[in-house]
Amino acid sequence: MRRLVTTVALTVLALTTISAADQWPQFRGPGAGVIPDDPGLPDTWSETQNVVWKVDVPGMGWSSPIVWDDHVFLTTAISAGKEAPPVAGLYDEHDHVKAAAVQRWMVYDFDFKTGKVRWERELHQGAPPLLRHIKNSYASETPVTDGERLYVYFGNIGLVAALDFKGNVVWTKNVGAYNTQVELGTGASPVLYKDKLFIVNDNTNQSFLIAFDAKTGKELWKVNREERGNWSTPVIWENDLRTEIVTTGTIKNRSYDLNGKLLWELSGMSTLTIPSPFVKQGMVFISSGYPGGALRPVYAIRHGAHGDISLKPDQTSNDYIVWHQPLLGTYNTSALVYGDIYYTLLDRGFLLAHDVKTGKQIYGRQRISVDSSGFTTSPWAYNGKIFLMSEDGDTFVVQAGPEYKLLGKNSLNEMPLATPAAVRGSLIVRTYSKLYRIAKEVRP
Amino acid sequence: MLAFFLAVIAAGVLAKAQTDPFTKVASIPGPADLVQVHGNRAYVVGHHTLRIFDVATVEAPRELGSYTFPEKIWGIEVMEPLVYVAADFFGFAILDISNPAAPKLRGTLKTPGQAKSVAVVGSKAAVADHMSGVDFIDTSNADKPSMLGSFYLEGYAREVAAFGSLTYAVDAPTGVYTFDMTQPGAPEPIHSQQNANAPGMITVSDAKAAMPKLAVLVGSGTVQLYDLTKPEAPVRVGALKTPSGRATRAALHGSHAFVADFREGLQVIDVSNPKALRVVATYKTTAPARDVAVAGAHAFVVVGAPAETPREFKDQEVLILKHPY
Repeated sequence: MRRLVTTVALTVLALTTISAADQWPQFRGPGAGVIPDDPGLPDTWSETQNVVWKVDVPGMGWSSPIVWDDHVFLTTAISAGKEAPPVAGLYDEHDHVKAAAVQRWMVYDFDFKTGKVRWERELHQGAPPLLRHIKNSYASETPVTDGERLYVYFGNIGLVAALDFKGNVVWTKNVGAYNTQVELGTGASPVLYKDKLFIVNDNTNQSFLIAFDAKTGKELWKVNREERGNWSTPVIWENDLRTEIVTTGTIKNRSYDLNGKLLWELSGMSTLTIPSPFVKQGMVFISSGYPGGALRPVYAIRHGAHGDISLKPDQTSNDYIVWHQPLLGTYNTSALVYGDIYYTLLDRGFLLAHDVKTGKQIYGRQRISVDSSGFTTSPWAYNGKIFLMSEDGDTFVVQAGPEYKLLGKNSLNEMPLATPAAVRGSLIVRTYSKLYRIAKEVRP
Repeated sequence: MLAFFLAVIAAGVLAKAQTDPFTKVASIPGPADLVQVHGNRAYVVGHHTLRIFDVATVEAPRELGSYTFPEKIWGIEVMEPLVYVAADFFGFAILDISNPAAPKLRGTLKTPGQAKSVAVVGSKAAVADHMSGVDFIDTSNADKPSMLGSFYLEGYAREVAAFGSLTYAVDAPTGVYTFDMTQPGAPEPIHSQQNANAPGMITVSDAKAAMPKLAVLVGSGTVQLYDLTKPEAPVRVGALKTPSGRATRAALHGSHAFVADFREGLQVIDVSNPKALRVVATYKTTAPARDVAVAGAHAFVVVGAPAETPREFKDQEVLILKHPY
């Protein structure tokens, strides 16, 4: 009998315990936008179809939602006045805006099951010291969690904070609020590796990469960088040789060891670096692509590099750069490697596919839609499908594989820029004013 | 002694004439971002508004009428009695100026992004659009323009210019594209070429005029000259870095290019020898020079800092200068 009870208990535990793979602790999740196949994940939705819950989110923020167990964390900045709404697309002028009023920098914990606010915490109140691009927000950095604490960074005010899952502030630090070279606000999210929290802040004053003890907030080290702006989230690369922090940069991409020592560097990027590097198939992929710039590169890099690995003028690869495409980089979206294909979602509404191992083109520019305003949300994939969410709130569903085939379109009719989270058969989607849980079926 | 003084004065006047051969004859108050002159009319764009002036008596420009769009006007193509307009997020528009005192909006068409420039060949318009590249629009029914399709440009589409049955498009930073507007629907380029100087503007000589047939591209502080003898495949024949390094726009007038060279004012470049382009005259403006049009013996120069609000228009105007070229 005792054995039976134990067996039943273990079975129940196995069925109800949420594994680490079922969490979404950071920007783009643990798989750089690739979600393990799950027949419960939705292919179709609307403002009402397959919506488990939908809640209003106050203020404005383009940080992406993250999920741990029953907690859906989100940051936002709530203005005391009326702020200029974002304008979709890419454009000249219309861009720099000053805050209309004092802001409240907020963290929210929504219940995964119901969407109800479990707690909210104000971390700062005041006038934003920096301008922002009209499409940017004062809460664009996605938080990160280790399952014990939530780490939040608001670059516009320089505030770094750790909170427990009840919303209590464990520690705070201020790394300073600095303008970038074009005064477009901030966006690079913090990253976590074991007990260390890393933040990159490239600015016109003194750029730096800083490491904190995640538990105490103690500054562990800080290295200066010769950069003037960056909106790209670093990636922690655990490879066969070592663990490194890979950062992009307009002047140089740089990789550091966990103590801040420079391992390798690579020049030849676009004037603005926004897409985040990511690791797939044993390589780290780095790109940037301001459309008005002559360089829009993608680099696929194997591990083990040291020193300057920049390509010489006549080179397309070298000992560490497996392949390079000079004009494939995107402006805002990060690329997606799904299966053996490197997918590029151009901001102006095209999808391209390249062989992930060689960089050879599989298919060229495929226009996704003739009437889309543009794309900033990074693509994601599951169940053999790729999801491309436009700034109009339309998610185009495309068949994965060597042939481009548009399968459908799901509309939420409100601007999104954040990248959704996907856990336990549910998509968590943030739009300008709302947070959705979308699923075919309700699961705990 | 008197003869000596007269000689000195004469020498001074002569020297001035060599470096500053312009005479300011009038000005048109701002707002002003762009200017074009067709016959006796000057078309002045200032932010959202197009104003039409009678300049038959160039010393006394007279405003005939105006039309204000909901968004900024980035480019116009005047084909009287119609004016084709590229108006930012408002898109493409056709204005009827048969009665210049009361311009009438005929048709409009929203383009995918910011409409930045327009060129018209026959009943087809090419619109440089920040998102889609070049949009091709059927204008055979001016009240109801319709989209024919688009061609995506690698960089940001900056300007289009019509030359005979062709349209050239430039994008920053990629290059120069040639479209045959007689092809049905939305044409693909019949020629394209890279351009290292991130061209932001293109102007062409009158296709109907005798030689020279030229195009001037402006971008990255450089004026580039293209030979259009074979118009489908322009050939870059010369380039000159302007004094300010921030030249914005230019106009071709015979064998001279008039260049709005921002803080360095108006520069006149002799383009008769493409291998040896040289500045032959300068008119220093008190505010940045941003656009220029030439009609006969007069140059119309837009000066004043770019502005996003009406409060900032105060130093904008169009200078009308008599020139000897």
